[in-house]
Order: sequence, then structure tokens, then C-alpha cells
Amino acid sequence: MENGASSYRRFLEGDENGIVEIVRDYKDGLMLYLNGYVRNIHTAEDLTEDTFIRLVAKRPRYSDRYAFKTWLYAIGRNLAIDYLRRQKRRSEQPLDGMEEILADEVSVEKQYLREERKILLFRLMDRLHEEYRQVLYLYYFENLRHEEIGRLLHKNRRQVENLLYRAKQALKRETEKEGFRHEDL
Amino acid sequence: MKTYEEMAESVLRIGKEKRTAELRKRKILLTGGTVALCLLLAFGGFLAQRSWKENVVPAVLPGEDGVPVQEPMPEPMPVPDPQTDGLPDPVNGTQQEQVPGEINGPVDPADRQDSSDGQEQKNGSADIFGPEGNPGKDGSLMNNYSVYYGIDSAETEPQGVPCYAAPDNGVCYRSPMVEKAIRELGPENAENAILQIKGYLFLNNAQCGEGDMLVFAQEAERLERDAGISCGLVREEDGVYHLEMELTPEQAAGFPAGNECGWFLFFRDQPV
Repeated sequence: MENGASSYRRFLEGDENGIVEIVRDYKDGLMLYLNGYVRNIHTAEDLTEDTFIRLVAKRPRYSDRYAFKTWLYAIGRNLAIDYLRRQKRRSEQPLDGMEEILADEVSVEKQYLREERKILLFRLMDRLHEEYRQVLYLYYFENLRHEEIGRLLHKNRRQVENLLYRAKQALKRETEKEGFRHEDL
Repeated sequence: MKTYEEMAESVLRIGKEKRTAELRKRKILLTGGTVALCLLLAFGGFLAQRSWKENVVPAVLPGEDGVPVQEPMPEPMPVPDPQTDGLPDPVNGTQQEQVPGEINGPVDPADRQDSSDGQEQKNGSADIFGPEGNPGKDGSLMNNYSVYYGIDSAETEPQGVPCYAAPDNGVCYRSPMVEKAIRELGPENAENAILQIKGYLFLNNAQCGEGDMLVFAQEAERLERDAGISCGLVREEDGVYHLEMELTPEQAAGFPAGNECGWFLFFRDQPV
């Protein structure tokens, strides 16, 4: 059983350390994933926290059929989508504090992604269409399988493969624009 | 940015507060619903008993010489028509009519709720809203059907009404029954029909987790102890929790839901 799943099970049995472990293991990855939706690392942090709060408050049922990470990310994704729906105009974000937001984003990237190569790739992905960015992030950075990505994005395996192919092509064009060889990344 | 320790601490604190508040809210809802249901059952039982006494039990009165005199038997009960569900009308004891060619058509097997022993219910009508699309009138309302109420995907606030249309702020989950109603009655009529169902059964549309099962199990025990209603069955199927009650024939005769009723809690992580 995946660590997250066993931690969650222990939490449901009354061991609070279970939730602490889940926060420790999934906080940064989930935050970066949600940042891909909301484009604001502070909002992504709040949504990440809300995701964990949801586990404590609602104790939703987890099925072993899915990877724990896929399940957790799906909860976070739903929260992010609801958040975006509430924000009628997404572009209406205050400019105040943008520098701090960007600095925090860089800090989380460094902490979670560690390698410069990955950070560079992650930033190039930022220029891509949201769907491409999501699928590349889940595939390369979270190492999810096609089926798991499909479950998260509500697509079948074939659609994920096609999407991934197009996303890679788009990323390749971006890397070449920057003067990198795609193969080096 | 918070460290993971800070976030975990905050998650546990806020999560526990929310959970306590939610459990309290559900308990209140559940208690209120139970009281309403028990009143309804009592009233149904009273009607059934009165009907039975008036139509079936021969009145035995003492004669002048102390020898009991038996009064003439009342008109015999009409023979149940196998085409109908066979239940007497709870008010006047006459055989109810079932209009053929129900507007909702035959039931999709996926919509049918089996009884606990795996056998289909005997009195279930194929028409979920009754012959006229008017719930409750023929006693067929909700027989064998689960009711799943909607909730938005993030579950910020439970929706107070059946989720037959997507709320503004979330994904709407719909039961096969609701889908069927919309498809066959049209959204406007479905709304009326579904809302009327709410009057008959207690429905809790809150999403529940494992801890909540305890509350429902306790409530089931309490019902069994205080109201004499057998509802020990609490089960979970594909993420849907069911709390079912089995009524005696006397209770069922006057009860709009037929020979079985229950309330069913929504809990799905995939929209229909």
C-alpha cells in the first residue's frame, strides 16, 4: 500500500500523525500542481491547506483502486476549479504583492523540484496551454501513469496519450526558442 | 509560506472544528427527520388500523342473554388485481387503480434498489412517481428506489434541494432516478415531483465519512428501540451509504412509501 494511503488509514483510526505525514509528503507537490490552475502560489497554498482540512473534516472514503496521490490531487483539483468559478474574472488579481508571490513560487519550486534542469523545464511549461501544462506536470514531475492522469483529468487513456504527445511537441518548440536542445532537458 | 508542521497543525485544528460543527448539524437534521418520520408512521399505522377494524374485524357484541351475537360481515374486500400492486387504499380500503402505460415507463434495472436479502421487493411499482406523476397517491412512491441528493464538488455547503441542475459553484451529482425524472417529465415537472418526495422521507444530503456511520448506526438502534422499527441494516455499496428500514405490513399499509422506506445518503466522488 502506498504510504499516503496507509497514513490516511491510520488517521481514520485515530492516529493524528497520519495527517501530519500526509501534509509533509504531499504539501509541496500538491501546491505546485494547484498553482498550475490558480496561477498564484499563495492561493495554491490556501487550496492545498483546504484539501487537507477536507480530509480531516469530511473523512472521505478512499478506495485502493486509485493511487492515493491521484485521489488527493483530484480533491485539490475540484477545490481549485470551484475557486476559479467563484473568481468570475480570473485576470482581476491584485498586482500588490506580486513580487512576494513570485519569490515564494520560486522558493517552492526549488524546494520541491530541486534540480535546476527540472526547474527550467517547469518554467518553460508555464508558457504552454493549461491542459498541456497539467499533463506534462503530472507525467514528468509527479510520475503518474497514463491511467492515473486520465482519472484526474477525466480523460481516457488514448486522449491522455494524444494530449501528452501534443504537449511534448509544444514544449519542444518552447525549449528551442530559448536556444536549448530539447534532448538535453 | 507555511512549513509542513505549521500547515499540519492548522489543518488539524480547523478540520476538527469543522467536523464537530458538521456532526452537530447532521445530528439535528437527523433527529428532526426521525421525529417527522415517526409521526408519519404513527399516523399511517392509525389509519391502517382503523381501516382494518372497520372493514375486516367482525364486531362481536353481547346479546341480551349474554350470548355473544355476531354482526353480519361487511362487504368482502375486493380481490386484488395482479396488475396492480394489490395494496388497499389507506383511507377507504378500496382497491386502488393502477393506470397502465405509466408515464415513466419501465424501470431501468440500474435504478432499482434490491432488498437486503438480494430479492426484489414485492410491491414495488415500476412507476416512480405514481400513475399521474403525482407522488404518494398510489402508495408506489419511492418503492425500491434510492434517493441520492446532490452536493457541489468541493462540498463547501450542502445544497438544500435535490441537485437536478448544476449549482453555480460546483459539479452537480445526480442520481439515476433524478436523471430519469428529468428525461421523462422534463426539468420543470421533475422539480415538482422530486421536491414532493422530500415531504415523505427524511433525506440528509450531507456527504459523510466513516465517522458518520457511527451516528447513523446509533440512530438506527434508537429507532429500533424507541419506535419498534426494524432498521438495523446499515450498509455501504459503491460509496453510497444506505440506512434502510423495514416496516411491518400494518405500518406499511398506511404508509405512502409502500412496504419499505429508507433514506439514502449521497456519497460519490464521481459525478453522474
